[in-house]
Amino acid sequence: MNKIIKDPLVHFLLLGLVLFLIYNKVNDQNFEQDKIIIDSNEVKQLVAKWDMQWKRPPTEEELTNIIIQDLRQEVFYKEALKMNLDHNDEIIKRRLSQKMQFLSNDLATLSQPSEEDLDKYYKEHSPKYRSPYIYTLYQIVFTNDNHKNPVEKANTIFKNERNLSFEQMRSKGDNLPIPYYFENVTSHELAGQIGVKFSENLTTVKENSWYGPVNSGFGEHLVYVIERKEPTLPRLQDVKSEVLRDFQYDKQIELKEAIFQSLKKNYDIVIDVSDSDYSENFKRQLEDQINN
Amino acid sequence: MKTLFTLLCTLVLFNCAKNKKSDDNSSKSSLSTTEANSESSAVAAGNATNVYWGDTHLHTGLSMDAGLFGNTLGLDEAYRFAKGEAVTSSTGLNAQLSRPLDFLVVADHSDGMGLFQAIDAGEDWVMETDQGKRWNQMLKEGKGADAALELIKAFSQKEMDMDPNAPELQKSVWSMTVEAAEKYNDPGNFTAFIGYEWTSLIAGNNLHRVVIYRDDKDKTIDYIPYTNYASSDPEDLWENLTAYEETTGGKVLAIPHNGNLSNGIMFAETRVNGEPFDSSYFKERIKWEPLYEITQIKGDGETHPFLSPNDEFADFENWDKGNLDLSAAKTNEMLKGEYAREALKQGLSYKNEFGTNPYKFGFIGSTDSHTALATSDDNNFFGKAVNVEGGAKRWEHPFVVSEVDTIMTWETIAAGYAAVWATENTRTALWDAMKRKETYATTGPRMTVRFFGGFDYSEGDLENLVDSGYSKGVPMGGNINSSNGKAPTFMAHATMDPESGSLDRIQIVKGWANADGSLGEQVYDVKWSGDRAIGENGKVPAIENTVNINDGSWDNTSGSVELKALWVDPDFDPNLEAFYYVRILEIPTPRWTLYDKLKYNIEMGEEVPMTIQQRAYTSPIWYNTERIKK
Repeated sequence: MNKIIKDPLVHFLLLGLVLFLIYNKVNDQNFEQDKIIIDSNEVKQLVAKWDMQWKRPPTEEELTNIIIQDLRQEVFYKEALKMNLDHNDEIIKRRLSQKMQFLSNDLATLSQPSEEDLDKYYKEHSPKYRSPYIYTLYQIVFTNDNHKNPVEKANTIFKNERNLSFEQMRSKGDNLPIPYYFENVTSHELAGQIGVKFSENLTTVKENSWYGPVNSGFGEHLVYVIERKEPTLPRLQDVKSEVLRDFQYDKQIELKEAIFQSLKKNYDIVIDVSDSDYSENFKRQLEDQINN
Repeated sequence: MKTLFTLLCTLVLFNCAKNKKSDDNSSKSSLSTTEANSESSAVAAGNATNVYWGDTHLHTGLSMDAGLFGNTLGLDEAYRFAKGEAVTSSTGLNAQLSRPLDFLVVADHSDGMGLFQAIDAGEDWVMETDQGKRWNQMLKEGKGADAALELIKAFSQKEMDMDPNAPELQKSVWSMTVEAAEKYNDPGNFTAFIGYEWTSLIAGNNLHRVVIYRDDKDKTIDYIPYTNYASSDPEDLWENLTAYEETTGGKVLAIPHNGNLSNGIMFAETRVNGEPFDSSYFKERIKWEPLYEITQIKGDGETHPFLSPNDEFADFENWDKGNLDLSAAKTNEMLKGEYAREALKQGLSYKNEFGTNPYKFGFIGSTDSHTALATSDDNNFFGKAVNVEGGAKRWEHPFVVSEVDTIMTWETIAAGYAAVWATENTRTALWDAMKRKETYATTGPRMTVRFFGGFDYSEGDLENLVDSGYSKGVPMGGNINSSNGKAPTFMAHATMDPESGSLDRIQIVKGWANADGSLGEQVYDVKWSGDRAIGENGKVPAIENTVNINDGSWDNTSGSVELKALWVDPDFDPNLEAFYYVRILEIPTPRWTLYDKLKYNIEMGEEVPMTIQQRAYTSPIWYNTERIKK
């Protein structure tokens, strides 16, 4: 017996048996994993996808092609998984984390606030919904193209001609393709056409007389403000869709953060950076941030 | 949990209060005031009265590559930013446009999830399960966050009653994209187009197209984007667009971009499948692709010094080292298949040969930004991707590295925007203007440019430019046909962007096809600032560069606020097909690299340009000979 146990041949055979068993076991598993079933369910899905892009079912030739294309992807996908190529892949990580966040996004758009919720939100955020300044005005402009000193020119016209009629005054300025008369124009539209600086300068201009010069990127303007409507708060019902959109957007950010904070509790987060690389202060701040 | 919510609410409130100034930008203004802006006397009924500014090519974090760079901003942020609101960038910077945009095309695509919609809607397959019923109830009671947490837990513990990979759950990100566009589209004030990017890449050569729908959700929602996975041949994309129009009755167009990174195949000499061109290919191409994105962050695509050796402004922010991933170097032979001016010329010769001009396209500029932030202003540039949104070192960050070559971030340009002449700011009005090519491209500044062509204009018409322009001829993007050998006359008018540099000059670029099949081009200076005399070489000398490198200031009095010209083609040959487009040059102003240099107080290498002459390119006007084709 002893002799048998010590016999290298027996060792060899035993080892062979073990290897055979392991191989069999592993191979068995592989056999299971390596199966790719193309069943009618799978094909139906591919057809549905095609239909979404083409609005018609694929021909048999097209179907064969997309099945083979899908198979090709599946094979590489499975092999990649076996080789653990998905691990620590930055794209996959981001993609999956993004998919998790879609959940909270979806959720936020579903939360239909009550009238009271919306009203409360609207009141809390009212500055955001104020209308811009609205102007009705005349303007003329003096540019560098036509005047050596546009400021002086504007001042001279202002001094000598400011009592002319609107019709007469019109011809005193340069002929730029911007309107002489603006009716009920918002400060944003003015900023778009004549520049941000010009628009901002008008908030304090006296109404019902010529005023200037007011500077813009074009040159020096004289302005006659007929009416300036101060920003007002519209009624909720007039901006409801906008308010609802903002409510849901804020909700989405809240939810994303709340879900993150809650999930984070499932993890024991250890900060293990070497002291030599980072200051104590940095580590403390980081810890505070993370555990906040 | 509750305290957390309270805290978050407070934070959100705090931020809103802080952003008060910017938020004004999102306020409403009615369509009627917009119309009242334009002097009624200068407006002929039905003519495009307003120029609208936008970006047709923006990526959010939903784009795979944008996500990879760390873009955490989504559709909401992209639209909010474009509408003028302040948003926090992915890297935590405060971002806001000085002036809002009028329209935006978000061009993403990928897959997503639609689990909660299914639960909320109480779909049968969900309600069959206990969990489904329970979560449906929780949603109804406003306990959405708790339901989400339960659901995530069930997922992770593999305790889902329902199949988490059921096809019903795989709601496409397409529907998120469409819903967001619907949410932010505000006819009369802001247009959110429904669109996507078809990212065809053949061996690293860029053949990308942005697809833009004229239609709303009802037609587009069930029509998921065509993918490069399905095919990277544009002809298959066109077939897909055809199917869309035929089945839905809707309308759609595609805009190619970055021919400069296609290594010669954007305007190749054969079809992608290797077959020779034929007239049906040409008809399809111009049917679906009426516009070309001529300038964007990854380089300017008008022309190249090799192709236009007599154009002293051809050497402008070209990217000519290789293809998109720099896997293959550029050769001079490739250039003619890459640049817009050359393609316009080739189009004429194809017309002579086949009867159809496949490259009869107009121009737009756009950003192709992957930050969800449509920034094109040099003093407010957030870069191509999140990793170069800001910082003292971004300029020297390698943008593309390969064994072939390296493109540095300083080589990216803060460009561009699309300008569209239309009657109102709606999907249909803007799309129709794009289709008829009444558009122009700029490298960022919002100069106002008009361009008309006809046979009956006179000097007096310059005083009544818009009315006369439309009534006696055609605007940019239009066609004029042979008129008994008479030379065509053009009116070009540019007004500076009041927030940018004044104007150096108006040029008209002409291209033509000679009878012997050769192609010609000529750039004419037609109006310029100051009293510069034309030099011996026939060109107006370069304008003085007034930029102070130490503080970023410049002197706008060196250029013009407004330039206006009537021009008759002095070299006209009525027997040759030709096109004419306008190029506007600003005076030199600081490039984004100079703003960075001053902001971060850093030194950059000699090779980094500090100033730039911003420009605009209008869509061409084509002269057609109306010769009888064989």
